[in-house]
Amino acid sequence: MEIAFLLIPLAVLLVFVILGGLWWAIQTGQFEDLEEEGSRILEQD
Amino acid sequence: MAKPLAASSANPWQGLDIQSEWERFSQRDASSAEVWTSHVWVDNMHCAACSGRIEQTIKQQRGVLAVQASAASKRVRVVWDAKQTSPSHWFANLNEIGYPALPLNEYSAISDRTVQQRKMLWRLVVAVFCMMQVMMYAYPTYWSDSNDMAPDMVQLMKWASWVLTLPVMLFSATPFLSQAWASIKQRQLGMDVPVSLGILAAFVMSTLATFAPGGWWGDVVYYDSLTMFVSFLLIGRWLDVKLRNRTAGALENMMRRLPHAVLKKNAAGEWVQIAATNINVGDVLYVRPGEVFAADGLILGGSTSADESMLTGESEPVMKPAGAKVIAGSGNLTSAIEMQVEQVGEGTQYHALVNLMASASTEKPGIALLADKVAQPFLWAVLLAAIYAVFYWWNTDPAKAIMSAVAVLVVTCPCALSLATPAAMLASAGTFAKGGVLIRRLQAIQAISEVDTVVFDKTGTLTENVQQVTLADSHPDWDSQWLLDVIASMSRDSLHPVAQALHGFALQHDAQDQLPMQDWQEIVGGGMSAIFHAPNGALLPVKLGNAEFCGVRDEVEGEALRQVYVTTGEITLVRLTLSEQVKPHAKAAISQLIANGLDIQLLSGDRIAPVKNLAAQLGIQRAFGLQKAADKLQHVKLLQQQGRKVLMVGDGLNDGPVIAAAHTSIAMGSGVPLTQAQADMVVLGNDIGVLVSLISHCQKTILIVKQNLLWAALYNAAGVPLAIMGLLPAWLAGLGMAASSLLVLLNALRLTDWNKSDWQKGQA
Amino acid sequence: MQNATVKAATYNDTVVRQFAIMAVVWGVVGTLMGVIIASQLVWPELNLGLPYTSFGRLRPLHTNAVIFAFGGCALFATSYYVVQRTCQTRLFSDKLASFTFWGWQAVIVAAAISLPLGYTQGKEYGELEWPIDILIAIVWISYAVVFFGTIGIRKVKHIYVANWFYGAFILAVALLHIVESAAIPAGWFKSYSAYAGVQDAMVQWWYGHNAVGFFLTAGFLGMMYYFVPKQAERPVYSYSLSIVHFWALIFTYMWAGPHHLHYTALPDWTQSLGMVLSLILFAPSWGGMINGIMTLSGAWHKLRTDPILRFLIVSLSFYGMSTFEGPMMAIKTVNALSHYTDWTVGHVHSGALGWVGFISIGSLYFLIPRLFGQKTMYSVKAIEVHFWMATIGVVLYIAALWISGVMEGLMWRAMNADGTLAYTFVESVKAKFPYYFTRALGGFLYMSGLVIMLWNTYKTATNGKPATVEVPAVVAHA
Repeated sequence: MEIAFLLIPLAVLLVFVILGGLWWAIQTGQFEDLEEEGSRILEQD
Repeated sequence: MAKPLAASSANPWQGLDIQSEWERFSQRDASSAEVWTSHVWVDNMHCAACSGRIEQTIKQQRGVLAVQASAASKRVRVVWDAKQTSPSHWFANLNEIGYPALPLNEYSAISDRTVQQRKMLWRLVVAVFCMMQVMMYAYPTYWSDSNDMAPDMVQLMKWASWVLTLPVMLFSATPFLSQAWASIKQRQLGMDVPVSLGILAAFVMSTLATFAPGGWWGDVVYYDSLTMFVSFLLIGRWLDVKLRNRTAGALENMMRRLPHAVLKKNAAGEWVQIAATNINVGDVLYVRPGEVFAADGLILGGSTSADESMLTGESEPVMKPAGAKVIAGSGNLTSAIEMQVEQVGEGTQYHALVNLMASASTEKPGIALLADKVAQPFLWAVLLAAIYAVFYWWNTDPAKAIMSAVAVLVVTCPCALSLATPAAMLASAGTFAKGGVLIRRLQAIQAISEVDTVVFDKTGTLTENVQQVTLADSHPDWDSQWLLDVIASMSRDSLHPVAQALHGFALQHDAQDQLPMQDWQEIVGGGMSAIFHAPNGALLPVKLGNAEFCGVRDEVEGEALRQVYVTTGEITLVRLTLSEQVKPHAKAAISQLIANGLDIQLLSGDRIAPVKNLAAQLGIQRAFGLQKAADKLQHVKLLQQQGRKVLMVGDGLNDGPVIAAAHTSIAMGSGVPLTQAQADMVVLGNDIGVLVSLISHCQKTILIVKQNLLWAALYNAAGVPLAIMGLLPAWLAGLGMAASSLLVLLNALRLTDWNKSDWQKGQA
Repeated sequence: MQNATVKAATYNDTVVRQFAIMAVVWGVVGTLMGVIIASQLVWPELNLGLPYTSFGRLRPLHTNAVIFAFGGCALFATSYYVVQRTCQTRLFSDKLASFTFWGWQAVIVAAAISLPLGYTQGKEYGELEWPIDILIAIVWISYAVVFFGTIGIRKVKHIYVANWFYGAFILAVALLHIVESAAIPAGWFKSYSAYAGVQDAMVQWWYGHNAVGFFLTAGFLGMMYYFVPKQAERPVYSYSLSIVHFWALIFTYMWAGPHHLHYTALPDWTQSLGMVLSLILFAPSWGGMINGIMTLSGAWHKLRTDPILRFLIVSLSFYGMSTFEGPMMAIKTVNALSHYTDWTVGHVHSGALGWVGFISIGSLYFLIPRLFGQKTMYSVKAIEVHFWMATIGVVLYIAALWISGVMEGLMWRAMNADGTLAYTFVESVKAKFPYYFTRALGGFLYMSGLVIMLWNTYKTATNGKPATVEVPAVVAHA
């Protein structure tokens, strides 16, 4: 199952990339004031 | 929509253009010395579209680098370059587009909490995501038999798990590790020490097993258990923080009730908007319906109704005609009014309330102190048990020795012990606060659960302050309406409660209180006298007061009630009886308390007859009248000496000694002066029934605390031997510890379900 | 008193229009291919004896057309539309966006030519040969630049949840494509996979299932999270849930691949891993479904009168059904019956026709009128007719294949008392005839619905004019 030697390190890398994305999201307050954001699209256009 | 400020020739915000001024609500930006980030509060921002408008307009201004607006919190953040613009410019701009702004001085406190919460969330997220991945890599080894997975595949999984555990160890677990280290440096065993030792040991063993599998440490890895315990520990901490924040949040919501900005009449008679922190006594403010009163004061113009539930527990709107007093923190319901400020800031009931709520949360009740005392020796016992496990197994299997020790360290998390009490207390305190019961000392919850005797202090507690007046007799030869006018006029200027009651009674019967009279006098302990013009023209000296004052004999049947006479010379013109109105639910509540096994007593400074009468009405067996302060103290002391646990219920003006003598105390009534409250708890409002629900909920709280402690004890007693004997795999130990903490917290959360009217449904 | 320096910026809807129209066109083409090959299974004469029209070569043409041509254009159109509207800014680069359109059409045409000619890498959903793979990579990178660039220049701080789904789809597909297509060229239209044997199979199904998970699920969930609230005129039921289920979904999807390889040479532990993760995947998927359907909470009555909303909500029901059926089929014992049977094809099509098809159709019906300055499509009645035809078509299709699949699975494993097989393979094939016919009929109905849509689109476009919409400029608050 040698392909795992490619896929698993790739997955680990992916986890770090995703965690990086999450960190950025938390820091820029993407997860705050959530319910307001759900309605925002209805007021546009 | 509010009208923007009246236009004036100068920019009204010029005062903000000095650095020392704008520094109070701004921070220097990291990128450049000239760039500042300011936080302002903005009015009229109702929706997401408004925030979009604000952001786009202000951003256009020269010198403004970024704008962020939040409709939910009515805050706007502006990043601006001091070389190109100044606050007065963009403040003016905001005002022009209809969003008047005010500097936000509390910015730093709020941002601290936000930063804290974000970090906590981040740690949790990292731990949980890494845990999920690591468990996935661990799973195949559990299910595959020895031939299914090639050794290099197994090694790959271990390596990948190690890499993913690193962020959990280096970042997510740091609060525990650093706190453990800090307590060790202080030569103390903190709660985090065993868990940290366990986590570190498991990590080191697993790392060795991954990179140097040949040694005595074996080749089994525990990354999945490790990341799992850290995740669960963090969830437990996070829930704990949420519980605290809920109480703090309720507090902050209370504090946030006061508006940031108010409309004040300036010297020119115009309404200008000022920051609430700048209100002074004597200012005239304009308060619109839907707004909250920013200060205590008097209504000058207009009439409205107010929602004072926050301060009195009564949700019925209170009529506020011109001349009525309003309270800071209450809500203006119906119409706009003008008010004059009489009390602001620390002197208001509102602030007293806030301080009351804040002080309770910092105290530790007795049972928590007990838990703390037990914690130290317990932690030592845990360490010793772990060391014992190592010695026990070392010669048989060193790897098993270490992992058994890890299991001991992890399974016996004293979290259950130290979470058990605070969680329950905080849950109850928070829920009481919402129901209009304020706790000054958390210890009171435990004390109240232990009482067996309730002593009601003054009749004012069980009865209304306002007396009920009945016209018993009126001389047939005199015009009864005119007699009422006399009563009204005489009692108009007296501050005595009886006179007030009479005045109210007379007005209710269409009397007018402006009869011309001469030589009006009030005699303390007796009554009032004045001279009137009788309808037939004669001059009439009239006395209004008790039997002794008026020179008549008290009727025998009226001994229990207070009799008031109106006489002229020898003739009795009117006889009135004043009876005390019992507070709502008093009778039912007392019966319920008695049914619940409490001994109820009544102590009053009033005359014996009315006291006995009231006691009979309410079903109280032991009632004493004519009690002076010293008598009350003696009485309570005696009861305590007999081994009773006494709860004193009064109006909050109890002197210190009596409260100190009693086991615990509660102040109740709508007139409770919060600034002087010394009782352990304050019940807002008039409903005696709340006491019943309160006492039983305190009992329930202590019951749950005891349940939690018992559970913690049993769980540890079972877990430690199992761990020492090597029967507890690491993952199960972690799971057990997490489940135990969660159980304790959830048990405590049951206490948030409290309704002060529960007792009426027979649930108390 | 407002600053006079505000430019009247407009959204780039040209590229949206282009992709939207082509989505409908390729929808018809792709389903037509499907009807043809379904018919070939019923009447083999339709292979016409020519290599170019043989089932083996037309099948990948069908799969590529419906997934990448139809689905791809729908995703491009809607993602470009949604990202501009939710970020309140024009696309990052018009030139690059235009390149993605023409490049993508070139890929489709190249596929349409090369596949019947027999040029194939032989991997499911990854058949296109290496030069086309390179073109795909270039177009995809450009797509990523345009999409993420637009997010980068957004005027709204918060990134709406639909964009997270689109973003994950774009990044994942880039990764998947590169890994899957790794090959060693041996001539202009021939290459050898970089992987071999069971390793290749693992990569293939890591790719294959993630193509389903990220291309066909995440991308279309992005579509759902914008167009369902917009059409229903209500906000998403629980915005917090949308965020939680997004992360749960993308984390778990990556490892469900092995469930395609149960009882093959793939090691047991890998199969078990795939099975367990596929089961776990059920939860976040249903989270999305519930979120979407409950958005209608308080507005259910709209379903009675609005066929577009019906397409959107019914798509979610099919999504729920497929994401329940999938984990069930991933269980080894169930898979022992279903593997290689028509049940798998049925499952794919309930997801493809029911979920992907309906959500795209609904979203395009919302989009197309607005792109041409109209309030509604030319004929709302035609949308109604389309809905019923499509729904009946899907139901016929999947019911036929459920029966057929379970039947053949049972027939294959049926044994006589002495241990010999009860049926020959040919007997199971013959037994499937009526179901194959029904399936072709269902597919034909579905395709006809799309033809009606094409007609409706044509009439809407010619009746209206390409609309230019301004990016909301500043309006002074009166």
